[in-house]
Amino acid sequence: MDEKAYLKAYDTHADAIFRFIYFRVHDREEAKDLLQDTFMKIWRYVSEGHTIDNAKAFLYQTARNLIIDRSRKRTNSSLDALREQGFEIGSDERPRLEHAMDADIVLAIIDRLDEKYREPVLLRYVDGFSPKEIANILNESTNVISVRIHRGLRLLKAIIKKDTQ
Amino acid sequence: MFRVKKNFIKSARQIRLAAHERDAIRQNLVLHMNMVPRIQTEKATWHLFQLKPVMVAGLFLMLLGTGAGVSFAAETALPGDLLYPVKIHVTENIRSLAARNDASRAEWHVERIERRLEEAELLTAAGKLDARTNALLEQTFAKQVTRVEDSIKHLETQTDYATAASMSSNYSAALRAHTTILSRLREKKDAESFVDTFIAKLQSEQSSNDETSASLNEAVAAGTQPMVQEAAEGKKRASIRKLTQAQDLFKESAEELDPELAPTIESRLGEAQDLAGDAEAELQTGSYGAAFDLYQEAHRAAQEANVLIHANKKLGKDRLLPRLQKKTDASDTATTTNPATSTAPSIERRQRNDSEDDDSD
Repeated sequence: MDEKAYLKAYDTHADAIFRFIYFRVHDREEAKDLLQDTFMKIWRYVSEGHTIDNAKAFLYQTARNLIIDRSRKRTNSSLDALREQGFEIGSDERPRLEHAMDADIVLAIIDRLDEKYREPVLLRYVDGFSPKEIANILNESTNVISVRIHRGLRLLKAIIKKDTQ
Repeated sequence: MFRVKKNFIKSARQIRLAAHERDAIRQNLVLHMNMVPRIQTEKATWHLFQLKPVMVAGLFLMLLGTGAGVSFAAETALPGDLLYPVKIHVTENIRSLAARNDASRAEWHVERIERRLEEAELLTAAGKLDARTNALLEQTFAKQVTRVEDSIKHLETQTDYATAASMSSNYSAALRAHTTILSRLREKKDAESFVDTFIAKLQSEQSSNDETSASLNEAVAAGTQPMVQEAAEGKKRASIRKLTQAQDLFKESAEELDPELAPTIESRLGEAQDLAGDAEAELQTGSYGAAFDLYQEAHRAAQEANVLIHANKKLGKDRLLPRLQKKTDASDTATTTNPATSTAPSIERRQRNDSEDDDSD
């Protein structure tokens, strides 16, 4: 990967990687920092003479590792922080939930899914990976991932239904 | 469901960088690229490893003349050790010759892959996976992957699809289990970026093996009804045996396991149990192809738990670790960036963090 290909990779994937990180750290500024760290780390790797076969997968894997490192070093805030700020999904959100959700609501809802289902659902429907690619990223079999995506969606539907009742 | 999914996806995708944010990061990256230019890395070499196998055999015989215990010593050798070539070129090849048939040969090749992965884990745990040992491991791993793939292909050409599928499944379980262990080690040890590269290789291999497994399972299911039924029932017995074995081992080893890894093992066992239940339901309705597929998955999950337990025990108790840790750091010529980075809003902060990380190494 040369300089041109590297910057092209940034132009192509920056938004998607930013979203991927944001959904896991729940903080816009921090997501921007981690996005920058991800691409810098990739450049250092490339500059050492390594080659990258699948840039997209490598980017996600690197971002994921940085998120894991961060979570070891810091205390999670996420939904609790949102709640402390007064955010709750209540009956007043019903009309918005029925038609379209804003980013905070999506974040709060997805946070209520068990990690086991959250990650495959995000990777499938937000990041646009195939079940096979997700299986690769999460080190699971494709069958298991397909089942988790299906069950995750069912749980997501149940959460939204419950909140809108 | 459709509306929920559509609204969810639509809203989620609205999250993006503002144009000025995107440009600011891009400018930082360009600056970073100029400050860290691409370099031509010298290929890691290890002269002893590059000796022809026949010369290594000669060395082995010479060493034999010096006394007993060489074979045993070679068995515990790691990449970078003097006896490592003896281990991979002599003792392991001799064991290959002892294989009774194609199935046991394929089984041994999968075991050899596991040995390479265990070596990677021991080196990572001791913080000794550097440029040289990594290059060596990658070479031996790639060679072993070819052997496994060839032995599975050979079984396939013999139309022994069930055994080929079983080998492919065991191979998959080994890759997944060791990927989990290496990822855990990476988290715990702030390991070098070589571990990331190695993990990426394992994942790519997994992906290619998944395709092989799927096509072999299809080949089994395409057989005549009595053949598929027999394959499904055989797989049922094998998966129940494997699951019981893994559950017993898990109970026996509970105290020796990494407490953070134990829930993963437990989850694999639960998954195996669930899949076996689903398989039994398919078997009862006469869907033998689906039953075979699910029993295979159950077997794989149980095998993965098994490998995780064994690898965990070995890693925790292996006597090689203290010896490795006692080695001087003189051989640590590789200077790579610590992957456990903290966040940085600017180039300056990024560099400060890098230097702090370097200091802590």
